Amino acid sequence: MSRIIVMTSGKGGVGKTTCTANLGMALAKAGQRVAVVDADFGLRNLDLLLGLENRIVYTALDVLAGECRLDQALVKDKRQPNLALLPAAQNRSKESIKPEQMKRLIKALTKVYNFILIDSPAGIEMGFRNSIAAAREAIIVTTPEISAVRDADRVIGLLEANDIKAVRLVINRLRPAMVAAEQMMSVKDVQGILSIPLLGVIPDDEQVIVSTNKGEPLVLEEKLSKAGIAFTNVSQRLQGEKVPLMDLSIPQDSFFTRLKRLFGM
Amino acid sequence: MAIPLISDLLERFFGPAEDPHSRDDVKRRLKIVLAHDRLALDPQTLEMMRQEIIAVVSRYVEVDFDALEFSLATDQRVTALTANLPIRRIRPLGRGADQPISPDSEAKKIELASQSEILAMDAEEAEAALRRFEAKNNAEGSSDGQDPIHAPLDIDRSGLDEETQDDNAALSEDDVAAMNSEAETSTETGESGSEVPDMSAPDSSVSMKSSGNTNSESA
Amino acid sequence: MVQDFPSSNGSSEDAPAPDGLDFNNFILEIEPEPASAEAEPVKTKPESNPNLQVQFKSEGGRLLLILPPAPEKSRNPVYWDELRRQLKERISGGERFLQPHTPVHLIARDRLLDSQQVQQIDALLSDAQLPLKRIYASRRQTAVAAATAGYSVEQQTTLSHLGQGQEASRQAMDEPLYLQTTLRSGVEVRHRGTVIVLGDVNPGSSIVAEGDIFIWGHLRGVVHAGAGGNAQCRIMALHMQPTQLRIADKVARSPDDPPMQYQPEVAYIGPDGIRIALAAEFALADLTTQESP
Ligand SMILES: Nc1ncnc2c1ncn2[C@@H]1O[C@H](COP(=O)(O)OP(=O)(O)O)[C@@H](O)[C@H]1O
Ligand SMILES: [Mg+2]
Repeated sequence: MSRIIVMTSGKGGVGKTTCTANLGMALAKAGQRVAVVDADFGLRNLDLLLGLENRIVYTALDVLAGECRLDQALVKDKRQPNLALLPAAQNRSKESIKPEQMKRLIKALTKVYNFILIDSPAGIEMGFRNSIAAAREAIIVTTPEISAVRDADRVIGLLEANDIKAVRLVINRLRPAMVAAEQMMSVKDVQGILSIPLLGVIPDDEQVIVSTNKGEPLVLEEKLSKAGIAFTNVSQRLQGEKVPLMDLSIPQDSFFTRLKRLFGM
Repeated sequence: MAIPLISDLLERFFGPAEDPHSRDDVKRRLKIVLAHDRLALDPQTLEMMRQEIIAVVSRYVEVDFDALEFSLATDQRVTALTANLPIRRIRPLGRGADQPISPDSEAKKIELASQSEILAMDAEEAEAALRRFEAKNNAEGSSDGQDPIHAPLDIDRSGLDEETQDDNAALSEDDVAAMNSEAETSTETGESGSEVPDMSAPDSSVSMKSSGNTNSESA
Repeated sequence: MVQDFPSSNGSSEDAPAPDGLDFNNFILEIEPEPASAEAEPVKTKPESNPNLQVQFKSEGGRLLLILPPAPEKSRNPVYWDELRRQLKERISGGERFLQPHTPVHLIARDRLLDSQQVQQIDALLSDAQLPLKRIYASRRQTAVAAATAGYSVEQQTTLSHLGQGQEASRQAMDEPLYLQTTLRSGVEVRHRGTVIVLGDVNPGSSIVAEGDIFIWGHLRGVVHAGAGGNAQCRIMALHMQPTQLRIADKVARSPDDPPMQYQPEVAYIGPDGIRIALAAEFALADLTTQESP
């Protein structure tokens, strides 16, 4: 049975699309057949992060309108043939598609793909409902910020109410130095508050911006950056492997932060 | 405990200029907003709940209104309402449950009581009656089997017992003064009250009316 | 702290497609919409000017073969020989959407066809493994001829069943659309004629025109000229850096390594798909080739 996973957060800009692109690519690299679905109608971005924006001919809407078949709309990735993107339309609103239609698209995809990752839009309105309509699992992406965690909590509640039981957490943009300086919530803080299983932690990494600009997910790099390793780890855990959390502590500790850690802070 | 002090000290001498507690602050704020979000309770409902709880408790004990604390907290996706109601003293027996002791502030709270509050009181009263009934039965039988937690409460209740009887009667008399037609039935019930408090519907409806009248009187 | 998950879903080594499908070559279709939504009209993109040539059009899983109208009534008459030539060209030209075994519905409109001609069309189609399923004709004679040749026929008077897009595209092209603005992400301009933009066309925006497209500015979005199927249409831009270019039924994306410097350029359909030429050079070539048959 294929795994259908929605990436969602409530708040915008926390890294759903970044996670979808990198996880999708990492899973494909591991030999899984992966379809990533852009459910952010009107503000699509997944194509850009994957560097596939200029290969789009049809979108999910064209499939639904019967103007093409589903396989014609799928954009296959040249670098990684196991990965395909189902693009969203850029010029329509989120209301232009219904949950029932989303379900039909996803159902067809399950015939070919093992993993279907759905990149959800921000918010909890129609676009969100579309993105969770067909999902069986969810990955909550949040940052260690009060507003993001609050929204994540709201979304977790909605997912539970919609019978999506397997809900897991990815904490993105963690800055270990700030945590050490008591200026940012720690992984434990966030997980403790949301109380759902932790799937991984992605450090704040400027390489993410470089990779977005290039349209090349981090996990494709030859020498993986910290965030690239973290995304790869998440993909392995998603496939059932046991991978310990990576050590995100800052290498050049200042004397006093080290002292504090010695004191068990 | 000593360790934070040392780190505080260090921080004071060498520490970062920024607010060192922002992490704790944010956790505290987050926990509060989440508790509210998860319950999906609006502030009005919460305030109503607060008042109802105070009103109910005040019928039995005198609470310290200045030190009241209500808080919602969440742990492991379960939210709990914690009420901290410091008790000044147990209400002197013989006082009517609806007659406030600390006159001003308490009276106001009760005036604000809503229909749902009245119903809540009613339930409370019914429960009290049930407990009385049980207490009596227990007293008649052997009191050996009583668990230590309930024992002291039982003593209180047995004291309240007789008073509550009068209580109903007294209220009913008030009613007579206020509203004759209503009072008739209640007086009847009150007087015909046997040794064992009656749990039947008429009784509870009586008390409901009486508290309702208290409201309309003061309004 | 990290949660472990059961590797419930098959080995992670080399996952077979759930149905044992050929992963490199598969056809995937979604289930049809539940019956309740059937009332909605079939939406079709405006196609090429059907007054001029034979055209294929895919609609709801079937293929429509639309013939030009009767030559005696047309300003640009297409006689039988020309029609056959066009059809042959279209089929051998390997139209993108000519999937073998797709049932074809022949829209003869008001043309007079005898049973022999219908059979010839059928023969051409079967060369491309396309079964002729049904013939729609508004002339009684054509319908009778097709029926006697053993085809299923539907006589009808208009093209209206093809949807509004089709109906609209029977008219001549509209006046050029002149826009003095920046087209931003999410904006789509559709016009049944030529589009001229005095401004930039940003990534995420698109223009679909049945005629030419001129951009006096940066072209960074998706533009489709000759959307009705006219392969003669061109796209011109001062700064040609599109996400994607489409002319008629051809699609091209910009090269992975963009040029260092931009000059006004023209995109057109060459012998092997869409090509781009410097505007200065194209003008000359254009003049010399324009009148060639
Ligand atoms: N781990 C990270 N480190 C640094 N920047 C990041 C990280 N994750 C995301 N970003 C940046 O945050 C922004 C929003 O990310 P995006 O994936 O588009 O969020 P969403 O899809 O949730 O709206 C992007 O500019 C992206 O580059
Ligand atoms: Mg996004």
